[in-house]
Amino acid sequence: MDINAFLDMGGYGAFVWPSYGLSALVLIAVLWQSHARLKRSGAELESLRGRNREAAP
Amino acid sequence: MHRFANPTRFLKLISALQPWAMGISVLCLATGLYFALIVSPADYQQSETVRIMYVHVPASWMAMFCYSALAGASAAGLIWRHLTAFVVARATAPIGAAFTFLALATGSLWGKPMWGTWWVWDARLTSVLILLFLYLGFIALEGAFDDRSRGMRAAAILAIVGAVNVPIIKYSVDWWNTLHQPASVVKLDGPAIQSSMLTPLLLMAVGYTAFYFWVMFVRVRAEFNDARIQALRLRHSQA
Repeated sequence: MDINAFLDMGGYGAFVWPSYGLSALVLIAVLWQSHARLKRSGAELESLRGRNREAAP
Repeated sequence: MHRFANPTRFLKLISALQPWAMGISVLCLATGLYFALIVSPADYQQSETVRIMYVHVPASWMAMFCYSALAGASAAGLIWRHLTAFVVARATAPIGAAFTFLALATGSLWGKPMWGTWWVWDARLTSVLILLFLYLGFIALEGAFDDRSRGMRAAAILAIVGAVNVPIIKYSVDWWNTLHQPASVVKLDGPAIQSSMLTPLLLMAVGYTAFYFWVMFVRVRAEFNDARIQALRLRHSQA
């Protein structure tokens, strides 16, 4: 397969590749933000529970 | 259904399902991309731009699917007062908004070379733009009240009223004159699309659907963590 022809997309590379790139970017951003939120809230919950255990022996 | 309104049971269920959703999503998207970019042929009229279809159409389907889930969960939350349903609605809204944005953006990138314009104010495009505003309205309204449950109820009502837009989007290409082509896959007499193009389209669609469930499960788990944090804080301040 000719890589240049592949990237050129019959002259429509400027429309095809941004479509795929933007889709990947937005979906990965949503996934990453959601995972970061889960991680943050999980860590906070753990530390709160730890404090609770100290407060109530 | 009602069995899973119990948060503990629901959390257990989604924690078990999450790796499956992730696996199906990654597998279908990887094979889907291979078929979409390499195996499938160029269209005899649209040449290589037809490949935009494999990211545009699944995003558009998911925009509608997520909104149906959002409106359904909102209705369930209002009717049965299941907090779990509201949590699903809150987790769905940003994912649906992302898919709707992608449907509009990739449609624009497809419209420029094929229609000669980035945008037209016709029924299909305008009704999808309204869908994006409904998602954004839901997110804004849900976070706009100090009393979280009041905001959630207001947002749920918006989601249910806005559901009228879903059939309007679906039939907009039949009811009004538009540049947008009518349905070619979901039709009574079967899809009007060749299998070499239907294969990547369906793979991407399944990948996108599994992706929604994957991210929704992650967000629901984070929401439940937040609720527990709030409850613990409340107990702290009262102690």
